[in-house]
Amino acid sequence: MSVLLAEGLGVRKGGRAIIGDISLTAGPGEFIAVVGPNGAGKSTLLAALAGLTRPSAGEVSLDGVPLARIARRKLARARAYLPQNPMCEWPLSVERLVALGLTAHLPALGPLPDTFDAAITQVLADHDLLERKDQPVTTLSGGEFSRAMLARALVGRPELLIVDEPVTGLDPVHAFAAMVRLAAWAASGNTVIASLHDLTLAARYAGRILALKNGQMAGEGTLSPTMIRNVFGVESRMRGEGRSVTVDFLES
Amino acid sequence: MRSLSAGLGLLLVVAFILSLLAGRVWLAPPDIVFGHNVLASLIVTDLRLPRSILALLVGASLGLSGAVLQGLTRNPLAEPALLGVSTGAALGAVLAIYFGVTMISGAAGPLLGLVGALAACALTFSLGQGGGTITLVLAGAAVSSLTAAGIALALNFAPSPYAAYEIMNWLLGSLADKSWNQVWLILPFVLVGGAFLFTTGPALDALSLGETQAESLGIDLSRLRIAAIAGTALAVGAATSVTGAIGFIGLVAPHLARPFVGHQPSRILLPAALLGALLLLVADIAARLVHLGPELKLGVFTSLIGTPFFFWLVVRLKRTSP
Amino acid sequence: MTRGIGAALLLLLLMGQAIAAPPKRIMSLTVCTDELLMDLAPPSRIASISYLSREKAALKLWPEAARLPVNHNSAEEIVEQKPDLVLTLVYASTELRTLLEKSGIRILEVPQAVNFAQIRSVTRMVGNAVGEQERAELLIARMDSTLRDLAATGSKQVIRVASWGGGGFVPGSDTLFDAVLTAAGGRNITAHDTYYDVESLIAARPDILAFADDYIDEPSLRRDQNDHPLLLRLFANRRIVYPAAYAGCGLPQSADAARALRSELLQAMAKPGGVP
Repeated sequence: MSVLLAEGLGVRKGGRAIIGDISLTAGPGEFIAVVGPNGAGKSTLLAALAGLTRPSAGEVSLDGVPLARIARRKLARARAYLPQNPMCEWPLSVERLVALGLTAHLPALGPLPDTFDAAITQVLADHDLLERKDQPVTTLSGGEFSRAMLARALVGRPELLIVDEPVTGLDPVHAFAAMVRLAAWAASGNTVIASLHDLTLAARYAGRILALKNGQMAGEGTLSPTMIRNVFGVESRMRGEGRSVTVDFLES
Repeated sequence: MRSLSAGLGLLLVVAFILSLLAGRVWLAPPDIVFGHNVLASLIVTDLRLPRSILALLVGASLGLSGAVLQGLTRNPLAEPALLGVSTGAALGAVLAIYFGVTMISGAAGPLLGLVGALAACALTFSLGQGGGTITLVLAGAAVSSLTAAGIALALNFAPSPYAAYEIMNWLLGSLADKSWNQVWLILPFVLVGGAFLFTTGPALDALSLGETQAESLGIDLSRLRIAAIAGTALAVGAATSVTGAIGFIGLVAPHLARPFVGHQPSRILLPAALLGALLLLVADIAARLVHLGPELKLGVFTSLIGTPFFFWLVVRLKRTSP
Repeated sequence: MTRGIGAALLLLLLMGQAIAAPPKRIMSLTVCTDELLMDLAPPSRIASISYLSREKAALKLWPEAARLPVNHNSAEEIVEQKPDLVLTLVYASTELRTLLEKSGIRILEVPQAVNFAQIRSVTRMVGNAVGEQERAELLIARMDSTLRDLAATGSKQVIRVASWGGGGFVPGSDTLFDAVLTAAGGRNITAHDTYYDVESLIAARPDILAFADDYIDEPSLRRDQNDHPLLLRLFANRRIVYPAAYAGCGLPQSADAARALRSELLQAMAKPGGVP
């Protein structure tokens, strides 16, 4: 049960305001897609919502407690974060990589207790990685690697999942599969916040859209050609609805 | 990992026993066990036992520190010697010993070794971090050169006329003619430093995913850095103050462990420590057995092992990087 | 004809004078030749000695060095001081030798004497060159008498001695130290110059460790070796110090050094110690 609340959130870097005056509430079961042009501040917003960047203005709180006041490990157990283009420095096996997601659950001394083995196996199965569990991650294809990273984010069963650009570089099949998984995680009673460039995917799977432009909120709610015009400055046409909606940009 | 560590432990015991028996004067096992031969007992208890224990402590410190530094910097070329930490420690020790500070307190040696190691580490990291694999190693090479020159300079100005002849001890390392005094002197530093280093395991594992993800997993990065650097400074700093700068052990030991235990940093720590101890013991035994005038310095043997390995690593790095 | 004979006799006389007249301005360029020169010739005939003879350890034994002019083994000083004889050790630089030949200055190069036979020959060589043959023979006779004494009163006790403190380097036979030690009745632990570490040193079972008195007390790594706890324990009562000068230059006084060394050895052996 977790409600993420951001009030008047602002982040400055190098004297410049990257994002400013962002307020939002996100509750369990919600899948929020953050959209906006390049440089709008999506990554900075996600990092601030994850508690990894200290805000210069405003505050982010989880269940009423400011993130800065939550103990590191406790926060790490409640919230999982994936940056853009996540990487792994060493050729660990898929299983080991996924197990890293449980770092915050490690006891003070010693390795992970065997009770976690089942959780790891389950999440590997959920992400179609069971066959490859001993394979070094450096030998995985792009799609498989993304799945492995998502698996490592979800193995700890986080109530809050924040993902920056989850489908970059994935082919359509893998992109759809990733979105399905994110939506399913939200539907299980967790909060998912993801930044996306693909508006069709955002429209199909996210329950709510948050649009950013020049670091400020430029729209919230359901995606519409009006919102798209405000944020991107282009005309668009939306067809269909629910899981078959498509968003096309129109050349002017 | 458990079977590797057990295997290494066994090899270590064998090497340790060999170290007690080997030297310019070979001893037979019955001499030591039954103690009839007084000369042999003296040699073992007052010379070879402390020497072998020193080799264990110093080798383990180097191997462990190398494994931790490689995990911390995600750089397969990281190790205390290449990053200038060893020569920095040697400089601190030289200043303590030749200018009389150790006459006030023997602990000045390892303490100033620690300070030298910290300073060198800080310099290397501030110069080279954030610039990629090679940049860090280059920064380390620069700091190594600087501190080695500092050692030569200090020895030139030292009151003792023998100082200049002893530079090879400091730049290449030696375990010759050490006694229990040196063992007790560095033991607390090595134990505390080693403990710091061993605690970094889980954090290093998380760091495989990069700093941001590691933070998101609850890792306190600054505490990790402090533990890694303080541990290195304590263990390697003190060890070097007694033996001089010994290269390549910290580089080779973790790499030798990886084919057996995989790349997960926490699993490499213990095997690297054991391998470091083993490698140094073997190098020391070799140094004793080669009879060419005064004893050959340890660094000659560790370089014989380490330099070809280092070249191989660099070539492999060239091939795998973009 | 008488004028011819007279001229020949005059020539002979002059030549004889030239040969018979001892040199009046003698320059010595090395410490060993300095010391021999100071023992043989009066100060009035010494032009200069090496500046190294004014080092503390050397001055202790040859205080007159403080009152004599010094040189720094340089060609300029030779030209300046205009000696009629230059004494130095063998292997003086070839430039020096050529310069002296060109200037017509006589040079005598003597070898380092590392045993008593060589001490005799070198002393005679220098004695002849400086015109003090009688004094040279006197010094040699005194030396031989001391040596005969020592040989006659020697005991059967085997005293094994290692010269220590030299970074592990232990001089063997063919060194002055060895000659003095043998005359004193001690036995060197090694026949050849060898490097010992602490282990091989105690395996060689010396009875006494002998340190040269120029042993520097400034801190260095050499301490680890010299003052290893094991050596401090075993040789607490069995350490002697000998003047480094007596191990450096082979001189007639080396016999006196042997006598002094004997009494030190016997004193040390009276106390317990050594390798069990």
